[in-house]
This record gives sequence, structure tokens and C-alpha cells, in this order.
Amino acid sequence: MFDIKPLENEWKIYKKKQRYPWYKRSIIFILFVILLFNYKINFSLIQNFLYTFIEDNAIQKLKDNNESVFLINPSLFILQIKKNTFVTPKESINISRNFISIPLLDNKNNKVNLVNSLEKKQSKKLHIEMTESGNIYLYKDIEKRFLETHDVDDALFLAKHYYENHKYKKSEYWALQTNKIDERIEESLFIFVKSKIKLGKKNEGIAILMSYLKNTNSAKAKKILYKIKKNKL
Amino acid sequence: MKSRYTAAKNVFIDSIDIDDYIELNDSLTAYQQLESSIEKPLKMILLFGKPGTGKSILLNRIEQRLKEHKEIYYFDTPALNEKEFFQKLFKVLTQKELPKDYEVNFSALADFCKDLRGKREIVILLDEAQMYSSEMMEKIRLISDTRSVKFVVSLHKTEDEDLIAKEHFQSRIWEVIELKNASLDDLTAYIHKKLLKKNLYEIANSIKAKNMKLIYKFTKGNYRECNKLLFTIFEICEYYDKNEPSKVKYSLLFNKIVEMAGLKLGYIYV
Repeated sequence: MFDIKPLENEWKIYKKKQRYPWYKRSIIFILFVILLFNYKINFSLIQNFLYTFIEDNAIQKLKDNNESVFLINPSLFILQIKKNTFVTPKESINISRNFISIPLLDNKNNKVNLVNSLEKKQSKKLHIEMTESGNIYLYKDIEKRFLETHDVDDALFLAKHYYENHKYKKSEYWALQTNKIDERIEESLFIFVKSKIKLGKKNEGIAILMSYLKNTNSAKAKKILYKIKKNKL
Repeated sequence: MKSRYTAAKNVFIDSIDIDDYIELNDSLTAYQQLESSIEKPLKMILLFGKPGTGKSILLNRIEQRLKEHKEIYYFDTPALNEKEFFQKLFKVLTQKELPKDYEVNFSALADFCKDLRGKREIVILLDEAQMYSSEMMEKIRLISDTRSVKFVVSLHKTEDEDLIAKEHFQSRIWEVIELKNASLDDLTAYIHKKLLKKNLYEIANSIKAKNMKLIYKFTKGNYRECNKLLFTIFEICEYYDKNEPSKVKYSLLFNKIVEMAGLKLGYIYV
């Protein structure tokens, strides 16, 4: 009988080579999926831009026609485009040119607020989609964007994201940025304190929380303090 | 220590032993076709196919089956030269040994054959006929023209041998029987029947459909290749059984072993 060992080794090499194209295909597939996700996110950015553009145009058109209107629910308009179906809104009063209009409500501030809140909504929606994708370059993009806009939502979003992903140095930094812009946002302070604790600066974290408690008596702060003391954070 | 795989291995030793003949659908059809062709008033019959498709065993079987009631002779190994071949033929036709230092006179032999017409019907099964020279084939043709001797010529199927068939037999061969490689089902039946014939039920059952697919892939349904592969498979099993029993399972043949045998025989490469 022949020596079986060289044959076994030969078989191992053969199997390795046989599996190689599968590894290659898997890697290509994973890369393809990653690219697809990227594309999807970029596509959603374009979509968002497009929706805003269409809405602005529509509002301008209505203004040109001297019609004093505001959108009761602009998201419905987006829905119509997105799903390519026409949805009849429950709140509709009159339907004209795909817009729901109430005549003679000449409140410019209200109109501006509504447009602003729509933009905020879109911005938040963008964050949710990015969380799904898990692409680090997008967080870098948000960081860059923050440098230009100083949007508190962006900073808080980044703080939360980095804390959840155990990047406590970064979460501490972004929580601080949030707090610098708007010190009323309690959550930024909590992320800041929790990051400190995770970084091993327990006393410092407790001191910050205690001083916050003196001024506010916040129940949530008390709860976090309790967790820190019990090492349950 | 004797392994149970030893018996299985020996089942697949390549031979043309008639006892090892396995009746399959395709081979049965070929057998019936050949038998009926022999009965017809034909001068020559061409049996061809790739090596390992069962030509020799079919000729053997037909000789064994018909020899009781027919004058049939099987020339297994080709004669080295014309002299040797005609000595053999002389013995068959005259039932006498050629005296030493004598040579057969071909014209006299042909005349002798003419005289036999209507008296005897002789069938000669020529295996490996591609080994005969064209001059010899021409003489064989002339003897077949006497109509007292019928030749069944078995040839390997290659492009060159197709040429031989064209040149020498095109106008004379009235029956051509081609043997082909087995289908997956036939090959499965072949392996199982071979093992069951030796009462190796457990081993026969251990060869599953996935093993058969791989065996078929390697051998392309060629019986000789299949015998070689199965022999090597059971040789590896035998080694493991004796030395590393954890690497074999009686109820299951691992594809790893089939692949190892494939590597050893060069069906697959690293």
C-alpha cells in the first residue's frame, strides 16, 4: 500500500484551491453589497435634495399665482413621489395641484417654521438611514458638515453613535460640542458623563453629574448616578 | 488483519472474466444486437467504441453463450505478425496444427474457405483489430468474401481507427455496433451489482448518490476507468480501516476518499 500522508496533503491543497474561487466570489459579493449600500445612501441624499427642490418650486409657483397657502402635511407630498402612488390625505380640505391648501392664512412665520421643521425631519431621516448602513465615511461626512453648519442634531447624533459603538473619546468630544451649542440638551451631558466613566474617569464624571443635580434635580441624572455608583453602567 | 474493503477492492480488478459480466440495459441491447447480427448473412460486423466501454467482455460473453451451438472463436490478443495470424486461422479452419517450418499459403486458405461454404458457418471474433496491419485486414476481408467465415471486428474508436474502418470495411460492413460509455444510472447499477454479486451489501449501500456523481464526473461513465477508480477508493479505505479506522465509516463513503483516489489517478490535479 502506498504512503497515504502525501496523498492526504495533496488533497488538502486541492480542497484549498477548490474553495479559493468561492472565497473570491464571496469577497466580490460583499464588496458589491457595500457598494450597493453606499449607492443607496447617496441616492437617498439625491432624493432628499430632489424633494426639497420640488417643494420649493411648488411653493414658489403658488406664490407667483398669488395664492396664500401653506402645506398642512408636506411629507404626504414626499410619500406620493416616493411610492409612486397617490394617497388621499385624511386631513385634506381641498385638493389642488397635488397640494392641500387652506386659503388666507397669511402667517409668514408659521410658514417658515413649517418649512424649517420639514428640513429638520429630513435631516433626522438621513441619520436613521446612515445608522442602517454602518458606513464610517458617512460619519466623517457628518463631522465635516457639522464644522460648517454647527447643527446641534448632528453633534448629538455623532455623540450617541460613538458612545453606542464604544468610541468613548469621540463620544465625549461630540457630547461636549453639543453642550457648547445648546447646554439645555440634557442627553449630551449624560453621554459626556458616561463617556468619562467608560474612560476610567469615574470621580470626574460623578463630580459633573453632582453639580448638574444641584441645579436641576433631574430624575434621569439621579438614575445614572445610581448606576455609576453601583457599577451598573 | 484482513479488512472488509479488501474484498471490495478485488471486485474491481480490471479483467474480462465472464463471471464478472454485469448485465445492464445498454450492454444487454448491444449483446442482443450483436447476437442478431451474427445470425444474419453478413460477412463482417464492426464493433467499436472507446477503450473501456466493454467491447472485449461483450465478445467474450457472446463466445461463451454461442459456442455450444455455433462454431465461434475468440481471438483475444492480436497476432504479432501475419504468419502467426494465419497459423491461428489455419488451426481454426482445418482443426489441425500447422506442421513446423510450414507457412500458410493464403490463396490455398481462401480456396479452402470457398469449399467450406454451405458446409460450415464459422464466426471469428477479432478483438483489438486496430493492431492489425492494413495488409492483414485486406486478407481478412478476402476470406470474409468467401462467405464461409464471418468476422466480428472489434476496434477502438479514435479518429485514426475510424479511417481504418472507412478504408477497409466501408463497402463490406453491413452492421456496425457502437458501444458507448455508461450513463450515471447505468454506472450506479454497474457498481452496485458488482458489489452485490460478491455479497458486499453494506459497502454497496455506503456508496450514495453524491459519491456516484463524483465517480461519474471523474470516469465519464467509462467502465475501465470506473474499475480503476473504485479499486483505488477501496484501497484507501482498506488502508484507513487497518491503520486509522476513525477515518472510514462502513455505512458511508466519504467524498474525501473519492477525491483522494481521483488525485492519485490523475482525474484531478492540485
